[in-house]
Amino acid sequence: MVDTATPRLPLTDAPWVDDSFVRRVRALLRTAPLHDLEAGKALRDGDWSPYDLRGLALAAIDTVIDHMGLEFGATGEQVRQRLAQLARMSAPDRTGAEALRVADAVVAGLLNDNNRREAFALPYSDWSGRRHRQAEVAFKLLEEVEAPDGSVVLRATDEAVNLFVGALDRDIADAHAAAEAILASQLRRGRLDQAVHTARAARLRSIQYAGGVQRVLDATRHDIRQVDWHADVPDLLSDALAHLSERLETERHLVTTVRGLVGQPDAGPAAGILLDLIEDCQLRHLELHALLLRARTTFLDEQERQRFAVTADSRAFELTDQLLGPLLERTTGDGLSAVARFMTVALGPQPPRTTRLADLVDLLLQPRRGQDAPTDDGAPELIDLGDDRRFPPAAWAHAERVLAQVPVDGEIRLSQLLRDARASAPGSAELVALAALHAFAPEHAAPNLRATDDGRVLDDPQFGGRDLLVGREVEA
Amino acid sequence: MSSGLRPADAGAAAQLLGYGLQPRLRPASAAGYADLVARHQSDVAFRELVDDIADGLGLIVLEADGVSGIVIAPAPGSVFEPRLSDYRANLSGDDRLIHGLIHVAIAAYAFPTPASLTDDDVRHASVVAVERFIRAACERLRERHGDPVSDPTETGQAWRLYLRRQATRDTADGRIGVSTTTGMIKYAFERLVAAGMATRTAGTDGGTYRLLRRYRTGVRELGATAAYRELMQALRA
Repeated sequence: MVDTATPRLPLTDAPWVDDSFVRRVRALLRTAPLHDLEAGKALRDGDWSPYDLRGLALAAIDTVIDHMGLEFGATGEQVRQRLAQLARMSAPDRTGAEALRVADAVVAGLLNDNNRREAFALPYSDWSGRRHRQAEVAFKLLEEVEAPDGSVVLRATDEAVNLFVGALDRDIADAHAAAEAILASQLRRGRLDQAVHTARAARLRSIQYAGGVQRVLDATRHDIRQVDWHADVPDLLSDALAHLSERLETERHLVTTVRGLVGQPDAGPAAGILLDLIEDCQLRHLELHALLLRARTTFLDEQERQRFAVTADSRAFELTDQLLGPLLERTTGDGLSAVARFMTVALGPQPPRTTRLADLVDLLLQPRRGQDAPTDDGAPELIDLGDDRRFPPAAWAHAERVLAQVPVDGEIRLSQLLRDARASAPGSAELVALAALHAFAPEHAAPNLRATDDGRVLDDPQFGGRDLLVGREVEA
Repeated sequence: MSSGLRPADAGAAAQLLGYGLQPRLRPASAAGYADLVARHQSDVAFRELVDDIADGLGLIVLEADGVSGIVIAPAPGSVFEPRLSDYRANLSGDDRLIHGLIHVAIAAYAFPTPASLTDDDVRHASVVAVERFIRAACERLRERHGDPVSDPTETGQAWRLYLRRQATRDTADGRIGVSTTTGMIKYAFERLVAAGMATRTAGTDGGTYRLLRRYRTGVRELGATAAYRELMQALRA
């Protein structure tokens, strides 16, 4: 296909730019959010000229990465305090509150809070394909994610890790191998402090690498159609296995070397840290290796399971245009069922609530709200009539009259008793209910009534629960 | 693959579903939960058993992961379905429509693009931002239709109903009125918090909330498409 409208280079010429040009441009663009933060500081409330927001942003990424090794990520507070500390050092005469505001602004900028945390998307020119193409790079730097323990932590994305290690846009496996090669070289030359930084970077690569493999396996589990198991994944798996075998081999040598250093009398603290870092990598790689060996089975099982599964592909769904927009033009008649369905999913399953007798007793024994003076009725002594100051004596008298109709040789429904109580004196209904509850689940004193539950639900304006069958306890 | 299961596995599957009915519970915080989630991920026969038991109970399993645990949704008409009449007392049909729309709008605000539905980062939304978001969408419809909002002969399309309500109203004690749209949005967020789908992060902007992973899973795996299908069905009827 020849597009004559677009000026092209003669076919004999090499392309204007090589592939590395595109990678470099993309790497450059990934620092843009940091520059934007710095450039936008004039618009902030107050004079922020003493603060280097670019530097603080990079420090934020470093802090997060420092916590990503053994912990799941850094908490927002850890990052905030660290940045505030740095901000105060650059402007000692300002308040601590301002330093915290600066810290918050930096983190919000890196999360892209202004744009609902969507990926940063920046256009660039790509001349690598012999003609000009307008392309876009989309990336995130920091992300807030839920940790398994339920806390929410900040994590650095692959792009941010690249910023941290000062690398351009490199293949993760290559970078991983390179980091370990540099590490070996630094160890040979005895540069232990530098080696610690390199080992951290190597461990990050290892985390990134495992993340990439895990994503493919998760996608497989979720919807096998998203993953190309005929060409891409087998290649990925065999490459990954080869990569890991190399890493484990290198790490074995590194561990031997560093162990030797740790034993020496003049070994500084760096040697111990190094050993921990490398051994951590080793462990990760062994786990990943085992995971890869199981991956093939995952695929076969999923293929079997998903063969007949018809899943609606909701992954290309535009909530605003496809759902919210059309719904705004609907009336109750034709829109209510759809929003109701959405709500039931959004709110999740609600286990049906049955009224527990214990809750009802608590509820009934609560002091009345409103104008009634609070009364002292802490202990649920339902039968000890003399000690209760909550109900007037008249109510007790009525309740006793109602309860007196409970036959010795039969049973009467709680609903019937409640109706009778209300008919004679409304205040006594509560006492009748309490007496029935006490008969059903005696707490302290032995009741002179007994109550059984045959499953029928109480239909009463005031009380919920079961319509108990109340009978008289035969005296022993 | 279904041959290796034993009766005890049914107990384990039911237990996993039981955990799922407690949305605030996480695999890390309950004994055995993480193991059951791991088994759900790796053992297809077990997963099918869980699905079947869920199906019988009127539940739909959406996903199980090590962070949120198992995420389930109620099937239509099941005993686990939250009743709209329990959402808030004494609502008219129009009120319910707006309350429901607010829930759709919270999701649409938090997940602006299809890609954002599949990310696993935490998204935030505030009461004020969601209010502005819905009002702006309604205003665009008003411009397009050019109709006065207050025309009583017009049918009660949702955007008209929404625009008829005030965003805020000053009350004597400084609280937001419950029938204002701001009050309704706040109520929706608080219900999501109670349901274990969101947490409150700050009091700024009328209340700022963090929407949890489990919420996004529900919206992505079922809520959006089920509501869409329901809408299409209502329009055909």
